[in-house]
Amino acid sequence: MRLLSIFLVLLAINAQAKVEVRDVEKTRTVHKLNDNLTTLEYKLPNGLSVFLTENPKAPNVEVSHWVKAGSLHEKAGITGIAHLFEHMMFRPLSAKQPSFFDIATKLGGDINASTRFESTLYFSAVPPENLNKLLKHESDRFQKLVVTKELLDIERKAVWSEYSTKFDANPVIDLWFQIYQQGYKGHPLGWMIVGFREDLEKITAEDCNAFFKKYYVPNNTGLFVTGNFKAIDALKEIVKLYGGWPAGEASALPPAYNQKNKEIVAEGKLASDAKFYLFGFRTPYLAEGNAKVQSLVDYILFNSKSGLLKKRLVDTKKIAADAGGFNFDYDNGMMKAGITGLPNSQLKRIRTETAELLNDFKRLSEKEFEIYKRNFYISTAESAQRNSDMGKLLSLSWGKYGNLDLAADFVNKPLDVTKEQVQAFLTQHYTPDNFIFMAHKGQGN
Amino acid sequence: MNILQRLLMTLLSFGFVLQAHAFETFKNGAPFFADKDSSLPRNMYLLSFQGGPALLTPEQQGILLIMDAMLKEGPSTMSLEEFNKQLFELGGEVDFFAEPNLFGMSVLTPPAEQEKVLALLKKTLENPRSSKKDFERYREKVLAGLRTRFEQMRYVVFYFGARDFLNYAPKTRNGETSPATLAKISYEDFKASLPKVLDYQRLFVSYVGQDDVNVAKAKVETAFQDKMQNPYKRWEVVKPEMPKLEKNKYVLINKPGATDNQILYIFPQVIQRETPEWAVAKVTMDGLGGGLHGDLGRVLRSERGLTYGAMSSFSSSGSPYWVAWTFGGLEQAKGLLTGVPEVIGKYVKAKLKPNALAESKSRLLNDYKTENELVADRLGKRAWFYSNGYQPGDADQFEKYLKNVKLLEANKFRSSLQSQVAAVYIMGDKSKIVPILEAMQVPTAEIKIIEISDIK
Repeated sequence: MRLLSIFLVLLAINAQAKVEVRDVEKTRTVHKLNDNLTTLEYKLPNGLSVFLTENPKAPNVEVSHWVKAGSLHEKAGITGIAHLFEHMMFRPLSAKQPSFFDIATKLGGDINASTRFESTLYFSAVPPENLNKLLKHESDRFQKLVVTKELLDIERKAVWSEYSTKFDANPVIDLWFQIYQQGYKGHPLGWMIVGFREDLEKITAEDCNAFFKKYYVPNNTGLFVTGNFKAIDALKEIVKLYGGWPAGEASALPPAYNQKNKEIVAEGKLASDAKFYLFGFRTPYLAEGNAKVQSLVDYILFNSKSGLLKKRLVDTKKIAADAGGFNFDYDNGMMKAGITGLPNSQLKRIRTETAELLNDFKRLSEKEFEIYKRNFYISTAESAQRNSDMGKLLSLSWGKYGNLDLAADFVNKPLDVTKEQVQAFLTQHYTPDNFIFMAHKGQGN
Repeated sequence: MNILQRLLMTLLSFGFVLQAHAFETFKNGAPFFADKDSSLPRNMYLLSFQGGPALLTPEQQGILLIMDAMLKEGPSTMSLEEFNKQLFELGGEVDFFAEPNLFGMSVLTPPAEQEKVLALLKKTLENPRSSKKDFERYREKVLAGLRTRFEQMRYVVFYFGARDFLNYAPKTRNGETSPATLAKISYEDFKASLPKVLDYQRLFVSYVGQDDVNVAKAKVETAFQDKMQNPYKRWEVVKPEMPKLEKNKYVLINKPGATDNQILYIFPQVIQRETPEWAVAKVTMDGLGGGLHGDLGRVLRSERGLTYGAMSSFSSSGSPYWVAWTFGGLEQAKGLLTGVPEVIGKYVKAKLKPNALAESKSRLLNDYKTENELVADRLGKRAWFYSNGYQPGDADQFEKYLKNVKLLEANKFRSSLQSQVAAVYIMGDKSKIVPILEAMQVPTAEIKIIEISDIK
């Protein structure tokens, strides 16, 4: 057995050695983001996509791994495993070793992660001189992590704490959880990202290791390095460190929700002195073909100071105190807006007025539509000035939208989307039978 | 590449990285802090009226929130619809905000439209929509948002803890308030406060954008020259006050039915921001509770699994205290309440090692550089510092101070960290928390219970 192990290790080393930087360099694709920034894309033989964006003005270098494994890839009964596993990625690779968290913070790193419906994003920012050391430890955890019962049981308690402070105590987060449960009954989107509380207890270390083995494979992963570094040097390290990571099965999203709908009005489980409604409408998974249209719809309807929802409910009808977009970049499958009610706000009236937004959109002149596009472009370009935000836009474009070049489209000029395209999207999806309204407990009337 | 080419490349790259940096003054003596950054899509102006919350009593703080709601609706000389339409078409954005010793407004505008956007702001400030009927509408809107904010237990415990600990001293005034206090603000009080807060003699301006500094300065002067006739007066900041603490006390904010608990420890200690000692204090807090690597996070979360987070920090507003904060469910409450003092007690006795100091400095420097990445970040920071009684250049000193932190002084500071006399603020269900405190043998006389409706 021991001889066999040695043989397998040698085989792995041999396989790793076969990946040559010069071969990987031949896969290079150049993506020009703007006048100052260019992303170089490479593909390793194991399917790992690598994106290197030099930015000498950046204060540090950010390394992100976008893994196409999120709550949508879970099985019923162990919902929440993607999120729990994300926590385990910061734990030691094995007993007696320091945790990734300890290692990365000793390198001056600012590290974090977020689990989403379709993916999990890990990001670390370190001083430029520590990039190679960080890459070494990043590649270790993505290839060698073993979850043990002992560590899982401790981390499970921390997730309970996260659960109780967010979902059991914050009425707005409660509505966020519940709107997916209500709107996507019987579909993985209805499980929400943290999973069901009762499932958290059932997840075992074996479940975590199986999840890791199945989904954390190079051909499901995008590795983004953005900031103050030299691309060619980083590429050499990446080839050396990640070249031997064996490919696996590519993940796929579950089929889209296809049940017959009707408008849903429901209450959360928490009562509140405040009046707050969460409104959402079901949308297709974000993808290359619809990302630009969906982003613009979110901006025009909900997520700008001139958003049509705010204009109607707050400025014109004066039946709400505020209204604005809710978690568009983070979530999937539903576009949402938070509405802060006034003491005399009535949900019935808000529902009626909200349904009018489609007509409000139709009434926009071409000139107004073009101004929305211009303002959206300016605000996106402004936020992408920050190195970490540019990094996130790149990973979002590749991982969620399915095309890295969309990042350049977002920050360089107004989107090439027509009013007819937006109207067609709204006509299809912004329909009352797709609407879900959530109110705090006792405020659903 | 020859030597001349190399030299040129070096000069060009420095020119690319370093930004122009100017401290100018207007004709009335008011400062104009400015940077040029050609890469920004829009120019940004910050108009800072010094004083802000400090000009108002604790009960009047909500006036600034109502002013924000009012000014967002533009001047009374045009309809709200027309105001919004003009800003939308110009591509401009105007926001209002309160910070300690400052009521400010940020203006984002395409360079070609900056005169029009600044003129719109000026019209708004000259003719705010301030009738009694409008005031009541704004107050109702603000109240609605505030009620939602007060649903967040974390927000409430920090908000109340700081005020109660400092006996509602001037330093706690930052424009935040509670729903109960906001509801009592009268129209007369509101009207009387407007000219007090918007006093042009205490206005200074900051700018970053595509245009040259002198061009931007001229734009501001053109827009506001008639308002900035009287000599500029710098605001005199009230110094932090040390509260009088007689004994340990537990203050429990009751939230019936709560299963979560927010726990905030406050320790009195004065540290002046942006001094060499501030850098030492940052290193000390990084090791104790700067994140999961700090002792609080490592022990309470990583080893004991009691919480999702446990942190510590000195007051960023320069108030005379530092805090340790954590949270957890009912099962974890006792472990957290006993664990926080235990970890702190051990921390102040332990010695910092040289490699830990180097790692801490590296982390803090990385954070500092990230927070100050954009010219606009540094601009906002300078405005804040200046309003709070510092010299403009003080905002840029932290890196130097941090690099100079020595092991000896870090250890000296750590051992002198004020860790004995603390006030503990807990938000949770009193029927569950009081028995836990009693089991910890906390005397009943040291437990004070208050209801959310009693919070000022």
